Amino acid sequence: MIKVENLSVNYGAVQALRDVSFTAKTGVITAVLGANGAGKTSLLRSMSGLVKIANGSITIEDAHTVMVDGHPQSAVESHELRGMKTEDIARLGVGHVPEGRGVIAEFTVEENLRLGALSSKVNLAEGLARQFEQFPVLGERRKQYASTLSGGERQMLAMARALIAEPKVLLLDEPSLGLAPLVTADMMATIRQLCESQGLTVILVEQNAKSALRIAHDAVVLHIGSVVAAADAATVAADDQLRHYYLGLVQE
Amino acid sequence: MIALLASLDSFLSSRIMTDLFYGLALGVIYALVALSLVIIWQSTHVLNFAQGAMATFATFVGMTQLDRGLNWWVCFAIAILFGFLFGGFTERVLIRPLYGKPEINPIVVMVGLLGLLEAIGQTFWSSSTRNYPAPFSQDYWQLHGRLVALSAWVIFEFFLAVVIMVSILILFQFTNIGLRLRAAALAPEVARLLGVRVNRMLTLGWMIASAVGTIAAIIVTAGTGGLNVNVMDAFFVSGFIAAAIGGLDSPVGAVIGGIVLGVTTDFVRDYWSGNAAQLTPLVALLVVLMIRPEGLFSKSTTRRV
Amino acid sequence: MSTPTSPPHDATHVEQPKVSSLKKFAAGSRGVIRAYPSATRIVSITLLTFLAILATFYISDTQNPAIGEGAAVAVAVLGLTWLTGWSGQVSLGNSGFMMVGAYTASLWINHHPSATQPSSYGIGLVLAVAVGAVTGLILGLPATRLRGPYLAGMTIAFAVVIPSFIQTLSFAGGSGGLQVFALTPPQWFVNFFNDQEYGYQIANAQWPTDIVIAIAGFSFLIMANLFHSKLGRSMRMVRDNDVAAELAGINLPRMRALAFVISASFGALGGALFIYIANTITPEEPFQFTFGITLLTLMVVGGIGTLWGAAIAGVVFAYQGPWIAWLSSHVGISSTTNLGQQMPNILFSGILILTMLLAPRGIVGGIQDLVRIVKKLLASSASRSETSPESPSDNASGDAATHSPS
Ligand SMILES: Nc1ncnc2c1ncn2[C@@H]1O[C@H](COP(=O)(O)OP(=O)(O)OP(=O)(O)O)[C@@H](O)[C@H]1O
Ligand SMILES: [Mg+2]
Repeated sequence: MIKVENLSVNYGAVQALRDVSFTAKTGVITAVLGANGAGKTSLLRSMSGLVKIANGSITIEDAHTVMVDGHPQSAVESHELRGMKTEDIARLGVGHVPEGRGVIAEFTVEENLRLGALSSKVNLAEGLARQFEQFPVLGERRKQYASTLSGGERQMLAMARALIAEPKVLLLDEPSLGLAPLVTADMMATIRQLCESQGLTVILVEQNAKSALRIAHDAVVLHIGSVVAAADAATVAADDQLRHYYLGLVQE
Repeated sequence: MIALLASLDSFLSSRIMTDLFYGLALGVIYALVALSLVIIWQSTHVLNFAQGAMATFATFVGMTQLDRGLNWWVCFAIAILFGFLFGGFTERVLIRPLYGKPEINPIVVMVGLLGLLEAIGQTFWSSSTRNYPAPFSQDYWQLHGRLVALSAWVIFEFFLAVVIMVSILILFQFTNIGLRLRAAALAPEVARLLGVRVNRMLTLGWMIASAVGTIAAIIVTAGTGGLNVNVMDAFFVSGFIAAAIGGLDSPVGAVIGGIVLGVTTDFVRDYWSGNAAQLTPLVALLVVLMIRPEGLFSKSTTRRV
Repeated sequence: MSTPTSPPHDATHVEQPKVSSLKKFAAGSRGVIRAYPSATRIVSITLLTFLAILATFYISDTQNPAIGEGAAVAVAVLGLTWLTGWSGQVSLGNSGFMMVGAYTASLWINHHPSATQPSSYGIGLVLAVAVGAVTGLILGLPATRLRGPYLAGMTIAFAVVIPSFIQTLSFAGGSGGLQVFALTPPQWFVNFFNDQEYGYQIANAQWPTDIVIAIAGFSFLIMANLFHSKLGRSMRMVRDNDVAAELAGINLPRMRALAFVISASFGALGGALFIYIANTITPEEPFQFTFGITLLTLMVVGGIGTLWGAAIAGVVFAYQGPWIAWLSSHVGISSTTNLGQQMPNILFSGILILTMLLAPRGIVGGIQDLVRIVKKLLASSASRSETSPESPSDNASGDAATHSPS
């Protein structure tokens, strides 16, 4: 579970986020929606420690079983992300697919994936095999430089690079950008399945509110840095006012 | 058979081969200095103007241990270790506060360090040139009465240079540490998102580079140069020129640039004049930069804005 | 690229549309370019020059040559300021320009029959500037295609190669270098000091210094006008945003090469003036490549990109000897020890590093910041407005290469 409380982020005089609070439940996809400049990217970047948090807190609560005196017991480990270094947040199991992909163009496909797996305990060969199964194109191009990939292929690579580390939390900044609808659907299905089978927590930033609301369980709507709605996806999708004013969806 | 050997003798001792050996001996030093500059440039986008001075300083530290009677190889290791640590110290203390600042700032600071190290070196060890012993004979070989411009020392120098270059290549290209080092240099933010401890990698880059530079300085001083505070000044300039010719972001280019520069300079000296040889590196630099400002082997075709 | 806010005096210029929009752009992109009315500029620089000359009448004649050297160095720093502060090209090779200028002037005077005629010294300066400009052009052409470290590296290569090249020229005296006769003072100047014998001695030490200060003052005038000319504005635009400058129709390569030519001319002039006082030049002294570092230090310490910075640099250079001696004696370092001899270098380099790390805007920048803080404090205490005082470090932070000129 990720708890965001009273989060504020400033760029100089520009306030990108003010008093943002919501909870992203474990094993659930939470969509973050909003117009351009609403602060979606800033939210994800502050969660990864890439931008300074002016106020508020972000906590990750990780429930897992520990052995106490030989008996399994459920324990909750909680981490305050504010003030943590980006690399330490990543090592906690927070995967982040940044806006604009962030694939390292000078690396080969395989090197990109290797780098993704490096800071986790995952077996590289198995991880590679799994990702190549999910994204066969990447397997075909494993020795190719990422700079030679198409836009969609890069997006797949970025996704595979985050998934290979088997993260507990996945922050996705517009992952469908440049992808064919079919590939997007397939990828989203995989992610949803990971949520259900392994308790992956996903925060999904999407421009396309309609498709995001279709696959997400919960939704948070941002408007100029503030939360205007945080509820389950169905409720948000059904709210005419939200649809009209903040999501740009017309009545069907 | 004997005739063949004799012709081999005369071939090895010919004017061309002699120049080639001289040039190579010089060129591998340029290549090592260039390599150390490229490693630092790649990781932090700083041109380390104090590279030569730092390496000389480390060599002096090794020298103080030689004076205490320690074994040559132990002192060699001590100097390299000192250079390694010194590189890390410099990055942490002098360079780290300047990331994100205008590029003139690190240039000025490194130039300041260059001046400071040379001045401190002179207060400790005066400005006179001292002899730094070599572990192998530097007498050129005689093959049936003909002089060949090779010695045990020169062979060692070649061997050492090749070992270092190959290890650096393997380190960067084929190991996990190398992957992290390159990622930290190419895309620090993405690297952080993937859990790479970028700051440590940048420091490590400086440490490796500084160690390589120190090895170059020891080769220079234990060769014919002798040890004084300014001994690496000219080698730094040539090394920079080699790196710029090859492309500051290409280790392979740096090595090739260094060797070509060394050999060319020596041929110009022998077949034309010493004066012309003085100007050769600068002219080579100007010509290459006019043709390809980012260097011959650089992959980046776009200019960094 | 925000709304162009051109200073009021710009409105008086009536020019073709392209140029005036360009000017507005330049002004807007930098926030504000302070341009004093040129009359104020001329009067204040002339006044300061006169004050400096006047000061030499009250300074012991042992110190006078150092003042003259300081003035010569200030001219060279001015050239560096133009190149690095205004056109944004870092050069470590301006000692090479000084050397070229010094050798040109010395050669002319040495190979001229009426060597001690004042006019031949004047021609020497003109030739030095001309040869310096050509050298600047040769170096500036490749420089047009180079950025940051490549450029800095090329200039340092130039500064290292020039001395070893000159050393091989037999007509330039080889490693022994050249001697230049001292400038002889005119009779009226000697008479000013009354006593023929004694007065001649004082005048001998002082006359060259006064001449050099006067020429330095003239150089400052030229540079001040260059700063505020169309060329100067375009130069700053190239520095701050070369893409935008190109879009605005500025020929980037020509601009960058021109920056080198002008910088080299000032460097060569400074070098020649320096030699008129020092009277001796060799490939090793005084313009070895470490002098390029000294120039850079002086510029950084004074404040990059300002006339005041260059002037302060001159003063610092002139007084470094006594100051360092004073400091050494107070911390108990004998000048005969290694450490004592290295004190200047240690201090200069240390100050260079510390300035860059702690106060990258130099003395002038520090004073500007101080003034801003004081003004802010005064303003806030006067109005007692509810706005909280902003941190002054916002605009004072580390960008050494980008700030408004004085
Ligand atoms: N580095 C920055 N410096 C200054 N302002 C910034 C910076 N990054 C973002 N902003 C501003 O903060 C606000 C929020 O930006 P953010 O990138 O978070 O929006 P977004 O919701 O991701 O938009 P989009 O859907 O277009 O990606 C915007 O007004 C933007 O201009
Ligand atoms: Mg965004």
